Amino acid sequence: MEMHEHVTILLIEDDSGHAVLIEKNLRRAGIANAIIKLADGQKAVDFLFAREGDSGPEHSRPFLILLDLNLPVLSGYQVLQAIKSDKRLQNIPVIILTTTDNPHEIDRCYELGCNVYMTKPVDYEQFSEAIRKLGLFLSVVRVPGKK
Amino acid sequence: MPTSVKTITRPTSAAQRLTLLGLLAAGLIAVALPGGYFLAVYSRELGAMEAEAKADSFYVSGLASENPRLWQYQQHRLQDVLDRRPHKGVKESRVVRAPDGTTIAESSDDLAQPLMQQGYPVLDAGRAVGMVEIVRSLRPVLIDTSLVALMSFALGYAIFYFIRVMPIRSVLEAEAQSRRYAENLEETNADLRAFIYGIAHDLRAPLVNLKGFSAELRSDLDTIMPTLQRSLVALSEEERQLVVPVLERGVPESLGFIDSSANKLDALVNAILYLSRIDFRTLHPELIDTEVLVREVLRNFARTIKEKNITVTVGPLPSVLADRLVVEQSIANLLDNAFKYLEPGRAGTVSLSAGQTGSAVVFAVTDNGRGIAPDDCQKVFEIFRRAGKPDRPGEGMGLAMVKALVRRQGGKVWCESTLGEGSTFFLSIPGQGAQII
Repeated sequence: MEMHEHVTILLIEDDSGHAVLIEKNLRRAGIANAIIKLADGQKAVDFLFAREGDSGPEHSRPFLILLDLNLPVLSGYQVLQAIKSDKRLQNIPVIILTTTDNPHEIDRCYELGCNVYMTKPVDYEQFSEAIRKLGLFLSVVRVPGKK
Repeated sequence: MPTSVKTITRPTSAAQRLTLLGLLAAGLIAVALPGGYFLAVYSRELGAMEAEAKADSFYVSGLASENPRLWQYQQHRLQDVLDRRPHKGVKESRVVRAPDGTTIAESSDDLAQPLMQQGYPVLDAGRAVGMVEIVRSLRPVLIDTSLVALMSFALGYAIFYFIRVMPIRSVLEAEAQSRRYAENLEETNADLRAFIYGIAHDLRAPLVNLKGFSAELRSDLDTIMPTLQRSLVALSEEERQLVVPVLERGVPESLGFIDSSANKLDALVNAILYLSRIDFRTLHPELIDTEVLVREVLRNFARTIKEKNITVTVGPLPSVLADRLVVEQSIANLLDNAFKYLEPGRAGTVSLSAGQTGSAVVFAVTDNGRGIAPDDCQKVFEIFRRAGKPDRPGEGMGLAMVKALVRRQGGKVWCESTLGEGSTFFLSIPGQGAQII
């Protein structure tokens, strides 16, 4: 039960440590998909919007986005808003993955159209467990394709 | 709103006295000045008219004594006397009348109402044979008086202004200023709260890494350890003495310190986040029967009370209008501390009572436990500060939380204690307590 290998995971995360820990735990859950790491909101938006004009093999695959909220340059909210208000990008599943468990911020993300909101637990056992569960979840998720 | 602002907005009795004084002074001036002016001018005018009537009557008396029978018919000469006006431009009527009131001679100008009149008898050998009357209009005097009245009114208002309005204005200004200070303070406080929340929150991200990578390191070590152990045999004795202590003590010890420090930091961050959430939380005041609430809280301590054989006394408690969470958690915390810090080997007693002091209900939780040194009575309310021997479980969070909760409700918490004898913790909730029977 693997997520279709051609789906690329876009990990938008400014903390490289978090990115490594997330990737490690996703791999442990058996996720073998390509993971592209982007370290700030601007890079993410540039990448996503450039993709539309680009026909390279890297860009033609379907995507799934793991998005942090506290990002430099453009915040996670701005990235989320940009994705969900663009006709060509709005179908990409966006999973918010952040340390914030503030109910207001959770509400705001769902209002902006995020698909799933997850909190990164500070305790590593719980963190690891949560990411592995996310991996298992991802493995059964179907992502809208290009055609 | 802070009490300091309230006291400035209510200078009631002093303000009323000032208003009365101002009105009295202003009224006195507005009435007395024109009144006095009118009386003075009117009497001077009457005096002047009398003098002129006297002068005319002197001439007419001359005519009368010259010709006692016919003087009344000497119209020409009488008219001459009456037409003689010493003050040009003053309109008046001068009349000579017979004793029966009929007019003998008259010289009249047009006079505007109202009029004032003054007369002097015409004498012939000491006998009154007629009367000279002078009539003038009162109008110029009245116009002058009303001008004076107008000026007096202005003067009266000015006096009222200085006595009453100026102080009011300065009071209003002071009030506005303290309101500005209060708003400023409120804003600064909100900024500070947001700042603290933000910092505590941002500390979580590096904590995830600290905990995560130390766990990863541990699991990496576990992975390679069997292989390392096996390869130790290939090392020389000297190399083994170098490697073994590192593997068996150095590395685990370092990891242990990283973990425990990260955990401490995590607890700190969580506590700060918890406390700042208390500040952000909206209160839902309701009428709470605290006696019922305390009974429910005590049910959670039933086991401790039984095991330690503690005597618990709950005095009659009032109902208060407050947020349930605030009252419940505060009282539960104070009771928890009272039970926790009892002196071993002494029969424990804990009592909870309440009373009304002015504008607040004050709860008191008294124990005969180990007590707190006077210097520590303030410290115990600070986050992560604990007093006395650290021999009881706890994080030093409870009283800091009580303080934050109660402050949120507008109340206060404080303590009085004697080391070795026991403590009383007081908790005030603003408002009037109601006794429910």
